Amino acid sequence: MSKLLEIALGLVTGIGGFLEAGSLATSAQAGAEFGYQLIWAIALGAICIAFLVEMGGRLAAVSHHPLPDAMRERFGIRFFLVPLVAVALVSFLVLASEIGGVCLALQFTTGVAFRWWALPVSAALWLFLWKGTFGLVEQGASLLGLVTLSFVVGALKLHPALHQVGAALLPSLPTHDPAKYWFMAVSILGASVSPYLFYFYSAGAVEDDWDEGYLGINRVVAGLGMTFGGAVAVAVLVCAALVLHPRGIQVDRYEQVPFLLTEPLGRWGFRLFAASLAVACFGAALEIALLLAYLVAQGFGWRWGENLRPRHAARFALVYTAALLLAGLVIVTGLDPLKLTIFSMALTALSLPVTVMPLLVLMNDPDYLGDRTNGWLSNAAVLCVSVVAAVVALVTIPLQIFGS
Amino acid sequence: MELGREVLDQQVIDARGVPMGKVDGVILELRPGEPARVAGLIMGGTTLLWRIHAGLARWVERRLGGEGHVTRIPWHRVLKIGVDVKVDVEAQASPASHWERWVRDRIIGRIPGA
Amino acid sequence: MPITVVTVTVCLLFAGCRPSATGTAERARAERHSWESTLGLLEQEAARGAVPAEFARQLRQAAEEERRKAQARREGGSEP
Repeated sequence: MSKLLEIALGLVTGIGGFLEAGSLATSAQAGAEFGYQLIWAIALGAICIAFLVEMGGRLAAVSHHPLPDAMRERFGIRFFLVPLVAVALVSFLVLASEIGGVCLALQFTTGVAFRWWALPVSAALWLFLWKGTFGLVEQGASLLGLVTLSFVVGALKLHPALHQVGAALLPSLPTHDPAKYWFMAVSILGASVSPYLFYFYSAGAVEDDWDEGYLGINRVVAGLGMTFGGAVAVAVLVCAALVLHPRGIQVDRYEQVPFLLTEPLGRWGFRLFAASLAVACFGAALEIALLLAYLVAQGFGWRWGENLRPRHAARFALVYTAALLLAGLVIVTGLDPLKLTIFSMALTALSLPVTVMPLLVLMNDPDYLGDRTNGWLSNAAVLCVSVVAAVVALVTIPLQIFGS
Repeated sequence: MELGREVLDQQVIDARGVPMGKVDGVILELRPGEPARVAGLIMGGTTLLWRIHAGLARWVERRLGGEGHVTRIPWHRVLKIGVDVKVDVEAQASPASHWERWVRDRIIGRIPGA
Repeated sequence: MPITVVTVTVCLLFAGCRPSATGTAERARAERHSWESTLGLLEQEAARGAVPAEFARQLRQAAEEERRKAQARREGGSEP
């Protein structure tokens, strides 16, 4: 496959795959509550995930080890268990949130309550993984995910003052409710810098048999893909800032979010919203379920691979099957999907140092990367964001819980 | 050779190129008056558990009545140590594939389309 | 170990924080206004056919649920 086609596909993955339940919910809430002010958080998150995704790809291409495999080798089983459990737990909660997102989209269009969709959606996801290949999951979900560009169209139709949007790329202090402001900033970071994104990308690079020749593509795909993806999240925030914020509407339920597209695009906006929510969450759910299987299988040396028939990688298949079933059951309980989403984003931010540190150490180890180890900028950027995000999360999460 | 870095927790690939598991432990032969010698690799069973928490491992072994399905690979069957550890053993024929086969036969294999 | 101690201490400190009475009242007012606005926007969008009737029903139901929850919180909070 020509390199240009690879880049195009990678970009599509970045754009189509960026928006999911977490970034949609956090961007909508931020826009409604604080107007344009939190755009810098999305930008910062996009930059950080671009660095991390590039690293995951570089690790796979140079060492031919996917991240979980390399982690256990490098750190030994005791230290490996810590990030393993952290990433698995957090990713599981995000998986449940994504399933919740698909279920809500179905509820909006059919009137059947979201809890009843949970197991059917889990089953549909499972069938995709059971019968599908890695290529189908990676590219199919992302191509369909391009429907989320509706938010960009909607945002443009609302005629935002572009200089104001640009100005908001720089961090600013909140004009009101600082505790909520910083909590939202942290949730946005958690939504952008989800561990599953770079762990999955790394596993994907191995599934696609990358080698050192792909390092250039890797950099372009990571950088541009995440930048454009972040732009879609900014579009969501802008829509919320122009539709909800002037009316004093806070986002407390998912039912308030379709207005972001119905205002500029009418009935088609409603359809596109439901489609975007369903497709974005479905795609993310596929990736997370696969990621959980990679984590366990690669960490323990089992046979793994989405391209293999399930009977040839039985334990690997068992992990994603169990994960989808359990996550579906979480939604069947009727737990508020929006609260679950926001909570798992904040938890992601809190766990960033634990989930990111192993990758950082590996990226500076010449045994794995040869002469392609990290430059000081990559290290500094990622380290800074992870630690700051975690500290702010540590402070704002209790405030949010006890203050409401 | 640094056993910890280059052997322990490495991916083991069998004679057919199939992933067999991870090196959970290393068997050392202690000889009086001479340096210890690596006798082989050990995979599976409660081996890993001993490295995580000895008390838990002891409890599990008491419940199981043994150390579970352990695969011991003598050092002379270790072909190459590099990105992975290649061994001259067939995964299918060894206890290492016990759980994979069990899951395949009892669970995954029973679902249509597997 | 020290990290655990610091974390627990910080959490306990914040657990001791009670939201101020005025803060709670302001938040409740903002929430009420938010839902009133939401329903207003809903009528506007429904009138021009931008949202289907079924979804409008769901949103009204959600608004009602949130109003009931807020009321329960108010009554719970006003007890000494």
